Amino acid sequence: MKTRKVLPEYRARISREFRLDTLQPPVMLEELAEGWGVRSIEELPLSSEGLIVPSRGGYKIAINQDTIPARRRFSLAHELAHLLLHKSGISDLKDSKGKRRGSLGDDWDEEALCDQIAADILMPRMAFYEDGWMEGWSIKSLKTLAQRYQTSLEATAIRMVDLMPEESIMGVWRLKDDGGRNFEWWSHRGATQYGLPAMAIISFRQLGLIISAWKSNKIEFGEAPVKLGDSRPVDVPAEAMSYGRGTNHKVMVFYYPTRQPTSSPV
Amino acid sequence: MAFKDKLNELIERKGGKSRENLERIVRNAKKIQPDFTLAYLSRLLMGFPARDEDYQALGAALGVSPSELIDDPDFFESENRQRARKFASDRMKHPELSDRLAECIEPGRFRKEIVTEQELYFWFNSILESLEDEDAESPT
Repeated sequence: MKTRKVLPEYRARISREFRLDTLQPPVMLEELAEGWGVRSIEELPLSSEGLIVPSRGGYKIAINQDTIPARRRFSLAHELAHLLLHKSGISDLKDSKGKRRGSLGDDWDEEALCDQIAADILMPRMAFYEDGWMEGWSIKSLKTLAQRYQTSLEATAIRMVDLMPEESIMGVWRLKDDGGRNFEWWSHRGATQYGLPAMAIISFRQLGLIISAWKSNKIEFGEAPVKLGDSRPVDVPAEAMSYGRGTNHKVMVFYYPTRQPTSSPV
Repeated sequence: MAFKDKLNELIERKGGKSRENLERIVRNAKKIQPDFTLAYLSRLLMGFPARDEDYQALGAALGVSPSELIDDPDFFESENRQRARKFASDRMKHPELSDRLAECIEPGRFRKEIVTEQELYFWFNSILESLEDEDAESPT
């Protein structure tokens, strides 16, 4: 089985060609869409997040109505990313069957590329970079930035670790549905070689920060494990906060693998 | 019966879905198809469409003829037509167009795959546009 790739040069090309870096928050997606030839945007009870089809020389977009506003915005930006790839000649939007087809073949991942371009549309690089410096590159700024850009906490956190000047990883933790006390996680890393260790090799003590944040309604500071390649996990400075309710209750953690441990919060 | 259901049924008959048994099946399938993995088998069990070479690998791994795993040729056609009707009436709120959308599922077109919402939306939109054109052309 092939691993499909995201080609970074296409992301940069789209950003340059459509001047995404110069957009200002909160980005008016409907206005942008109209300027790019979208004839209508419908909200429908879909099973997918969003759809786009060519229509009379322009485009029609449908977005799943049964999601939260931040998610709908991201879905709309994702569909606009397909549109931009089409307009720039990188990808055919649809073949005669109405299926997506990347002009570079099946071994590149158009969906992942569109998620990245969606982040570039919703959280324009220059404005976000400036706001990151103003607010501080820390989990403390996450809610403020998410509000300003009208994006979800998770999408905003991914953007933060991608643009942060310091090596960082974000991890999202939640209790498994099996009724036990086991956590599951997914993560995203910025420009760093470090990653999160598998749950099986994390000791109970090393889950301390996540458990404290889980029970708390404020930001918790401490240490949490990361690892480099096959090496043993090492504890590094980290910040954690809980968010969401019920089955959506999660803990977001920012890990700083190259930061020196300190006894007091930064 | 669809490939997924046949595969699930055969695996239940041949030792069940314990991790050990699935790993054994994967080891045997790998002898024919080296890129076969446990994750891939799990996807097939959940309905991911099989490649032609998978039938032989899985047939050998399960000790059955590959033909036992091949889909019922009519299954996907009727399933897809049903999905098209449901899409027009439930999702797009145009039940009057459900038969017309179902006609877009041409015989033999979807031998092994489920039609996507993207394809249905594309066809549905084409139908709407052709209706608009007909209205515009008809004398008032």
